[in-house]
Amino acid sequence: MSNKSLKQITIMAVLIVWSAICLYPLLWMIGASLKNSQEVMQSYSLFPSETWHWGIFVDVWNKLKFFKYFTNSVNVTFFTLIGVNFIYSLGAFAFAKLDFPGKTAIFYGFLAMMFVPGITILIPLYLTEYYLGILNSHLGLILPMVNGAGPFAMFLFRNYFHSIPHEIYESAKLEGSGLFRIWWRIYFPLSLPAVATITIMNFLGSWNTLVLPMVMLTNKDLFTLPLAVMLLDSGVFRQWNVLMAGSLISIAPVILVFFFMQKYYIQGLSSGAIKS
Amino acid sequence: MNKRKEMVAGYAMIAPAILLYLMVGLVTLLFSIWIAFQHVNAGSLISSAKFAGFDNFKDFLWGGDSVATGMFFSAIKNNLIIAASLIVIVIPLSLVLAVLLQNIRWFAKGFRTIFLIPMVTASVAIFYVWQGIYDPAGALNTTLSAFGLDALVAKNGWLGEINTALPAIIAQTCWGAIPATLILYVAGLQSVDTHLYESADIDGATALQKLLHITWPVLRPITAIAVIMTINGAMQIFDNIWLMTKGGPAGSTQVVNVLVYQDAFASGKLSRANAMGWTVFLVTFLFSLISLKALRSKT
Repeated sequence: MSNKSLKQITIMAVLIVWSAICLYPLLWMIGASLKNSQEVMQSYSLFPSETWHWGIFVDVWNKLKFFKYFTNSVNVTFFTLIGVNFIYSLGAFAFAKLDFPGKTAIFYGFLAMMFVPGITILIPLYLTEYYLGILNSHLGLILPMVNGAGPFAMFLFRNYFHSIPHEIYESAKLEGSGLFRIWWRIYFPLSLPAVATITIMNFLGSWNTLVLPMVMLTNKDLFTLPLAVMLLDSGVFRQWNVLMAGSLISIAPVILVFFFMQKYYIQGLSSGAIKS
Repeated sequence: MNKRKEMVAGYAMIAPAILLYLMVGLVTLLFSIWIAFQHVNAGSLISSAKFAGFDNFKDFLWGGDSVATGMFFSAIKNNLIIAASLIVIVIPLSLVLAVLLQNIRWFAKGFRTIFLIPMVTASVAIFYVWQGIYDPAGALNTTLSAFGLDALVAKNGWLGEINTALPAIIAQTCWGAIPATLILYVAGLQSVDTHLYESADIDGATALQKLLHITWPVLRPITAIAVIMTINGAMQIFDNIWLMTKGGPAGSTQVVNVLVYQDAFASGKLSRANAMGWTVFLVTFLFSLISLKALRSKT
């Protein structure tokens, strides 16, 4: 065997081992959700040895109201994504193309917020929401999440708009298009790759977010999926199969979206680093 | 006239972003600084506020409340242990994996997808799985005894014993933190100009010389970013610890954010918790600056 193929085989072996480590918890989750509750901690095999208990998913979805929690998560995530993409695309267009007093100062003042970590302002945010009367509402989750995503989205959109040739803007203006129209009909459609990046980054973030709803929501009917999964664990003894079925329902959308949009996700991660 | 129109349009376009920023961002931020210097009661906030000077900070920094001080410093210590462990484990491991990904001839994309899974699934769901793995009857103990390593088995579960809980948390955190760093290095390695390697080969450069003079200059700033990201992540850690241990057993995995959360929302000490939040923020910021300086000054 040549030296080169030996090297390739060694690399392959290491990568396969690491893949197994990455995938094991997910496979364990799938396996445990299909076992009965005694079998989970007693059997060595990852998947059930005899019957596969699919029924548990139906129970979790219907009896444990996961349909409702799922809808809540979709609701919160959807409006967060809409807000982030439209508000900051519009703002970035102004920062990239228009001229107005205080532009640079406002832009950097806005970006500076990025450095303040979430938990530092969590307590005053709770109080602010209390005074605004939006505690225990989905709006109370959406607004801070949109704002939290703001600096990164604004930065990405502005860079993207800068990379579009200025002639396009000039000729649209000569044709007499209004500024809002230029943004909506030309710049927003041209920036769809940036929209995709921002969408996937914030989809994962808002879908999995935990502390914010933990603090802001007490009404169980409004719970998002992470909190709903925690509800499954509130009994005296833990039913692993139920807990894992709920867990799987809660992360399945994230995994699906990731597989279809991973190119944009990777771009987002890399550009996030360049930003900092 | 045209200028004026542009100005009005400009302000109108940034208005939604700025309004939101003022409402849940800036006002909240100023509110937060103000509260840190007040005595407030949980029930009637603003009306009960009394100026406290540095009392809230004294409580947990200089033994104003000796229990709080003890808890705060042991939590900070755990954050720092986690940060140091992550830097030592995550960064080299990510670099090695990125180099291997760069050199594999088949399935590079497939591997990269799989390697991102820990980050994508980082949620309540996956933390429960890790609890299951660390359970007294869980996969880790079972595997250890299957290999005859009964001495290593944690009888109360890996998260249930004071000596093993923090290492177990760190292992799980590393697992979740590698993807982000890995992607940085993958992007970095791809941006290295391959022509430079070819001309270095013609000049007869050794592998070490190529590493030092071609690869490392590209990877150094990336490493700086990775270190800062890691420090920030370790100081901000909350979700996985809250789910898996809530800081226990006996405070052995307590970290600052869990303490802030408990102090504010379980004990009702809103202003003290807020002061803690700010202290951690400043400490994190300081560490980030130091590591940035250190990695910049090295040639």
